[in-house]
Amino acid sequence: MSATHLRLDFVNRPDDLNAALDRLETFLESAHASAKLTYTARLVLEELLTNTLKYGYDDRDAHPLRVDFRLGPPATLRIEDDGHPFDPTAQAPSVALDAAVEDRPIGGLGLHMVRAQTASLRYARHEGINRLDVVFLE
Amino acid sequence: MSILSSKKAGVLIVMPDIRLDTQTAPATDQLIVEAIAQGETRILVDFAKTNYISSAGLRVLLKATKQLKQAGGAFGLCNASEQIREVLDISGFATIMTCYTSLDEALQALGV
Repeated sequence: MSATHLRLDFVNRPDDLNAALDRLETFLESAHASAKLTYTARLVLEELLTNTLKYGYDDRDAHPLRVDFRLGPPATLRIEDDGHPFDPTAQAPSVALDAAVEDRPIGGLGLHMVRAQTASLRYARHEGINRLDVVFLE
Repeated sequence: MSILSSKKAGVLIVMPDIRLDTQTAPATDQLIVEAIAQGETRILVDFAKTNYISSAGLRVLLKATKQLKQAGGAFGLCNASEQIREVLDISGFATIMTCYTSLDEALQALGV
């Protein structure tokens, strides 16, 4: 019986994030998760944490990031960081999906894809920590 | 990480590596931007080796689509996996760029 829970502790550096994404994918592959879940879990973690790395901090210090992934079903992901308060469930960047090519903003897609590929997102801020709980679609 | 590119029937074929994501998108973007600056007007992104794209990769495709449309050129995709096709659908990109099923089909459509 292989593990059903993966915890990753790392810091807000692009190389560390990339290593974490690779570890998540390897975990899912060794658990024989579906191709769809393997893709979606990596995508959701990349989109959310890329935002955190870009906008979450004012200083250049190393900040801890903690990820807990559980296979479920349903599969769940918890992300905790000490960056600026940011509630991705409250931000609603409208993606102009039917706009002409010229009118499309470059960017703003990450959160749209996270929402489209997950069953629920729940955000809480507690003692200086952002905590996001993600439930994946079956 | 490497991006292959070659030219057939007047079309520049860009083949990203396994993933077109936050880490690899900048190099792919740079390759396409420089190719357009040097006068390329027909560009095809071939996903034959690629099994993953995130929003960072989608931005590269959108930028190329816009630039080539302005230049009166042509842009297309081919050999997308089922998962990549789904991402193209969810993001709405499937409606603004053509995803051909094979390289031959793409070259017939885009080639001169």
